[in-house]
Amino acid sequence: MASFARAWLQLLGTLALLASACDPDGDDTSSPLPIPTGGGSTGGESQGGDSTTGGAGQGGQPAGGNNEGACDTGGPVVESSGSTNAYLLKGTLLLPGGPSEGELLIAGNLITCVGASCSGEPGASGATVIETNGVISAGIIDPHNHTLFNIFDEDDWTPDQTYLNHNQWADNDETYSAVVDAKQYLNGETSALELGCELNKYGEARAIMAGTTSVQGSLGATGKACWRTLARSIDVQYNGLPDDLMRTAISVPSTESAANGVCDDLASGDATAYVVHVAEGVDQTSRNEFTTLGTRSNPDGCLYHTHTSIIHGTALDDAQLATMGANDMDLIWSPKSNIFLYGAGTDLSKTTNIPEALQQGLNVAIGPDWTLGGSQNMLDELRYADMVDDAEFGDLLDERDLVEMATINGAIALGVEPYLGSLEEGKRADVAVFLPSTGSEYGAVLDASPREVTLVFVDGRLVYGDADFLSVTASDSVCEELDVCCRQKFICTGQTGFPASDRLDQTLSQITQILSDALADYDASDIDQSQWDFSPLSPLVKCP
Amino acid sequence: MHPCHLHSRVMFCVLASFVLLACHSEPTIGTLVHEDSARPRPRALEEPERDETLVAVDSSGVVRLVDAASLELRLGVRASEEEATVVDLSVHAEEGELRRLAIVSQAEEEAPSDVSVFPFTGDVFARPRVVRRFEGVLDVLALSDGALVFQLGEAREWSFVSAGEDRPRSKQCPMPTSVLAVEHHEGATHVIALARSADDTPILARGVIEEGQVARCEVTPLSDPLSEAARAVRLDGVDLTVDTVAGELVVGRLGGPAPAPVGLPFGRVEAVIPLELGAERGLAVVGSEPSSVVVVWLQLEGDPLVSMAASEALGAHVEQVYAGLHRALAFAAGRLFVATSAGLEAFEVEPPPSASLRPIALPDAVRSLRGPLASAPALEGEETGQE
Repeated sequence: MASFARAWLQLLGTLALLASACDPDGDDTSSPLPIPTGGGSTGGESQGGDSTTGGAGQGGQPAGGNNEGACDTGGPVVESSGSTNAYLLKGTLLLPGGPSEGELLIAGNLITCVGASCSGEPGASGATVIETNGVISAGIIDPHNHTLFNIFDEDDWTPDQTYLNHNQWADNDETYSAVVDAKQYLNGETSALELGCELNKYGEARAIMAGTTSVQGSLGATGKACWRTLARSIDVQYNGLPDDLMRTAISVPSTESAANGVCDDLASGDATAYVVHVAEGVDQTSRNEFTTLGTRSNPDGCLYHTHTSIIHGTALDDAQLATMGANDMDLIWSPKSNIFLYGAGTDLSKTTNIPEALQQGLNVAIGPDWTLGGSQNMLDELRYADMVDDAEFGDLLDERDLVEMATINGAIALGVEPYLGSLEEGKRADVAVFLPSTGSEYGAVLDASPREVTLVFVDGRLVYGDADFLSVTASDSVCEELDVCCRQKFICTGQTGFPASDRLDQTLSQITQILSDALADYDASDIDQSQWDFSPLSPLVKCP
Repeated sequence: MHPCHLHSRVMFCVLASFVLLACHSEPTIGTLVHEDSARPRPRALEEPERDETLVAVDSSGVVRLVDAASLELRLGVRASEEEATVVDLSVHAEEGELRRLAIVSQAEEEAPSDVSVFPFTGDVFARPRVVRRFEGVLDVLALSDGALVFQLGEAREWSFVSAGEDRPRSKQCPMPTSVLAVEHHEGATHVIALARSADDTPILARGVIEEGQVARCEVTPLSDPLSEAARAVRLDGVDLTVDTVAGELVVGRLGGPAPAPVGLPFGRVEAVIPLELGAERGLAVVGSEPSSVVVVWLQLEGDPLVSMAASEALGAHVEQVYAGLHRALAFAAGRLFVATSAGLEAFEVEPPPSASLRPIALPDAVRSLRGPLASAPALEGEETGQE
């Protein structure tokens, strides 16, 4: 059976490659998956995938890519193979104090050394030593997503009108409603399908390929054991951290007791972050939500808390941002989604007043929201934010500001900065490595697409990177090779050693096939009574 | 007397023991939770059917039926095997003795909620005929062959769940703040509710259920200047609104002239239910800030609309609910029950001319119950109608 599956995967990969050989014009392919070039495998063994280039989807996002057009460029090299439980990385480190040439030692799931040299550290003995020839960053943290929706994109839903608040499309847009129906069907909310594992893993694979090691993407949902792999599902119990101390909400509490419950948790330390959608929109109705947040509890105001992170805040006025500042609250910014919904995709002013937020001293993090009009991944969202900053804010944000919005600021907004968000000894080993750019060290992150992400570690496990590094992944990893915009990669979506019911041993090809089939079946069946079809899956990578 | 000891019910209990779980087990899904309680008073045939049963929730999350006259606990059912909080409940009285109890229960904050529908009689809760999981803020309305679920989450939708339908089909429709009426027209069930538009203005939402699905949702803007806390009820075919204006309670006819002041200062309207006592018609209103309960007697055909009112302060806090229904009130056996943060309070309601509202001392087992509340007709415990 296993050999049959592998043969099938190889056949799929071969057919896909034949159908979509690397297109120098960048046109082409609607394959949802960066083309698999090898069979599924466990870690520590290279499948020797074909290095033939291949497209992975259509363009349309702000262009990333430091080495566009080239199929074989420089990148990391293994200086010495050793343990897959310890890695010594050499390169340009993006440290809290700024960029620095040096080394970083990963031992187990921790960063145990950051400095000019870590070779003499006890844990370095026997480590796999990698010259990254690149920029080493803390893993990117996505503090706002709706991961289960990320098989869809603007091909599935682009509103034909500009909205003023989120209720307008949530209540009245039939296409959006049909998207929700499709997602709920696949997720088992309205069916017996139970594809929540695959939906989440597909979304997290998208994140991992963009160097994103934590995703807050499960608002209002409980986690599943199958979410353990890939990125940290940071807002559920399977986040790989000692606790889940995050409270997330899609709207302000609907009852006084719910509000008081959050207040109690924040006061007692049972919650270290309350992450809530507030003031998404551009009208007074949206703005009123911030007032509501302050008055819903008894006593008033306890949700104006230093651990409250407001998602969107698009409608907030100066006085409200000042209130946030006075209470040391956090803000999570999703510019592309805001402008897609409230600015017809073109009016760049229809997003949060970031200059005023910074003026008020707010910690500002950045997150794509979802792929339905939001960015495809965090790297795209960073570039979009940079573009908005240049066009609307007078280039207020420099490259370092933006990268920190996607790393440490996100960790602070989610209350996980003791563990994540920066390259510091004692923090969890969530690390992303990027090809260098022609600009600054931080520019390497801003310029990158998944193609330029050369290595990604989550909790010390190597899960994505250039294909040559498949051989130094942990032996219990379930990985496969794939082509990402003319660069050969691997991704480890699974792990062996868990009960089959946890579905942790699936390869990306398997995950993609399951979802593709289910979505096609949904489109074809009379269950979907809408006039819209949603196949194919939104590609994991859209190459320039 | 234990109901299983009654001769006429022996066969039923034997059957039920096979179909359901044992009569004496701890409450779980579909488990009987009999209490050593007196049988309800027989209802005279000529007596108009009125609600005699209070439905409330105990501290362990078991939904309890209470004889509202004797104040004795009767059956109970746990919505889920897990320790779950009952978020909302609704009772539908079928013809005959069969009732349906729809429950929304949530295992933990942020988690999805389960909607369960239990048929029950005076003797037994059957296993749930429907269990569906939804995300977001949920309310439920029990109907004759299932339940209508109001969902505030990724979208604002209404879904009809029933035993015969694997996949409830939903329609975008605003979260109701009050359900005014359930009507039946040409094979379709129409549920009419007060709600708020996307722009936070008052609207009437009409959800039409056809062939076991929510077929459409029709929304009508209202010209009534209702606040977000306003509630509405239908009483003898008249749609009434209850709100506060400048700190005073007001009652009006939906779409009618300016609402009439009741003449009582009032905080925020939390819940409203209709009252029918003999020929008298009125409303019970519970409010927060401060927590109080008011009974307003009305002249539906006349002017002024409000004839008399009585008010009582509550001894504990009433929950403030900002989205969806609020079931903090129930009226059964001529008694008004109010759910507060400290448990239940109850009042004997007398219609005009006395129009009094007299507190009742509740036994501990009843006083400790919590909302959400509902009422149901008397439970005779007959075999008829048992599934």
